[in-house]
Amino acid sequence: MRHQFPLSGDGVAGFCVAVIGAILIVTAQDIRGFGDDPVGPKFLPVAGGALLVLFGLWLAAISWPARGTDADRIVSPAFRGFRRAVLPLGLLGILYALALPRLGYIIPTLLVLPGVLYIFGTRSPLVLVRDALATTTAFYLFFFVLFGVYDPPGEWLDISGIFR
Amino acid sequence: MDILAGIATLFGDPMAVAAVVLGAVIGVIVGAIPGLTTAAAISLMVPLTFYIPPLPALAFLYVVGKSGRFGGSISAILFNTPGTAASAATMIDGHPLVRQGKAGKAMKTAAVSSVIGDFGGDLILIFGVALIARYTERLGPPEYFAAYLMAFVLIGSMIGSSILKGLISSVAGVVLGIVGLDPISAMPRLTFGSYELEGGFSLVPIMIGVFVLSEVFVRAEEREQGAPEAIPATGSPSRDDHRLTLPEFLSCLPVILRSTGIGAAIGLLPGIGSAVACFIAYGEEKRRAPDSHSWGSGNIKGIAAPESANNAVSGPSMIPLLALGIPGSTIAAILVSVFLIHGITVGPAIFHQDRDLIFGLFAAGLFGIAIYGLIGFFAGPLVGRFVALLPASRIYPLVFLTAFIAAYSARNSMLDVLAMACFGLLGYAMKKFDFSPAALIISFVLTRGAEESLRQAMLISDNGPLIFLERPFAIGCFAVTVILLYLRLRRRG
Repeated sequence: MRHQFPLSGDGVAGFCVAVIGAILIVTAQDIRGFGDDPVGPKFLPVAGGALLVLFGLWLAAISWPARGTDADRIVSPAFRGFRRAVLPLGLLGILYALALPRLGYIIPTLLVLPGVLYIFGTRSPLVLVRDALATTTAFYLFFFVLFGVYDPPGEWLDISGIFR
Repeated sequence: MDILAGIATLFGDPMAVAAVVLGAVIGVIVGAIPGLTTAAAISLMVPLTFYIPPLPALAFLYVVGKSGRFGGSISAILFNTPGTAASAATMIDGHPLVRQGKAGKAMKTAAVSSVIGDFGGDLILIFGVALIARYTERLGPPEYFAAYLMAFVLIGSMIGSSILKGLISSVAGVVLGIVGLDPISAMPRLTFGSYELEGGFSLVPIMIGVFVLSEVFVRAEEREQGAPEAIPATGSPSRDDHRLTLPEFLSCLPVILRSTGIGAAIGLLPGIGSAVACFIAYGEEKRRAPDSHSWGSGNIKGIAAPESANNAVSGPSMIPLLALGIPGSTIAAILVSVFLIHGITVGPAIFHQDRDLIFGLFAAGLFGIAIYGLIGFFAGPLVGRFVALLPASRIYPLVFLTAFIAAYSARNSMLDVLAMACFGLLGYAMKKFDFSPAALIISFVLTRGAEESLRQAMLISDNGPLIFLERPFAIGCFAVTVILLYLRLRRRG
């Protein structure tokens, strides 16, 4: 039997927005006022937080109780797509962003690109390696050589240093 | 005639001319690729333009935006899949014509209507904006804050399908915009003790994450779910089916002119944009048409109306940016970052300080219209066939990698790269739950100016918030906001 979640996708989103708004209001309490400024630096964070709480709860309220189809969104095929494509791609993205300052451009790109190509349907190991090599080289030449973008040096290992 | 000086400035700079031609070609192709939005493409290219002089940089991005809007009609007509939201209405009559074997006629109608609409909108921009800027120069902080507030509410409530979600997106943009040091007291706000966050978020990584990386996530997910393939275009051996005859053009002309007026009027209001303009023009012309029963089954006027309206938005949507410094559209918001990186302050003073550049940019817009018009008229179906050949399995991995390198190259900052990856996930979540990434970005750009004008207005006021009711311009802005919000709510009801 399928479990009925009490909130729809919109309800969950509204609830999350309200929680973020509440966190903002609490965090904004640390901001100190300034001189004669009648508005002050705290006004906008508090107002923004309050509006997020208000709109978020409103969204959650109008989405509750969940109707069958809406509730299904949370366990729908879209969520399977999320697990099989978006989540791995997102993780690859975060790992790539973390690896760039440590290993420079070349190694992380050569490691991450086959994964991205695989997610988008390339299955042949030979094509994965070939395309990763070709793309890494082409991007290096285009951005770092032609446009003169400063090549990120790796803290731990800096292979690009050979070319500089 | 400043525009003549602008034309001389443009054609005196070969790099700027090349940028316009390249921008028109890239814009048409990018616009024609379903799913890859023009805003995403421009976001990716913004960091590259930091390395070239201001006129070619701005001309390139401005023309990519213009031609991308037209390019969307190619996939709408040929593949029944709008390349951009602005071309969604074009699909209704455009694709039935393709099914009848009249792809050439449909493409030529779209190209001619787009060119006339865009040209009309640009004339309003060229001859109107300097006059408006002369008036807005006299405005003070209370008027500016009222204009900002109008932009926030309109952008939040008009972009996207849900008013509430649009407003949440708008407020989220404001919250992101206040992270960092307070502009007046220099107190850190919402930095969570992080020294790196004291400088605030940069527009480029947010933009690339929310528009570009999120699109890669969406496409990867759709691929996993087996999204339907585009329907191939069909051809007809008859030459007449691929031509737009003079009588046909003349019968469309009144439709094109009226729709241009609708698009230009909508373009003046921040946030409403070409996606709304195309449907309003289509609905209005269908209502007026004596042969309205044939609309929806391949009437060329059903292409002329939305195409002229959505392209007529382009020029007037730059007026709030140049006359007030308030970007009224996503592309205008993106251009702000290019102006700023080249040390140009956007606002009415730009017509004194950088007159040649601005009129050079306007000339680039006109030249760009001519180029994309020629591409559309003579090579529209060819572009469609080229786009159909591009495999998603290659395009999106390249877009993924470009997003990271572009985010890094803007400031050579690894924090920007990490922020971009996180904003990519945020943008994906926003798209999945029907929030508005465009409202988030535009509000982010507006926040600093809005807060400064609010605080300056309150500092100079003897009557507290009543100062906003002492200024006619501010009252006008509040009235427009309330009326348009009421109309939007009524339309939903």
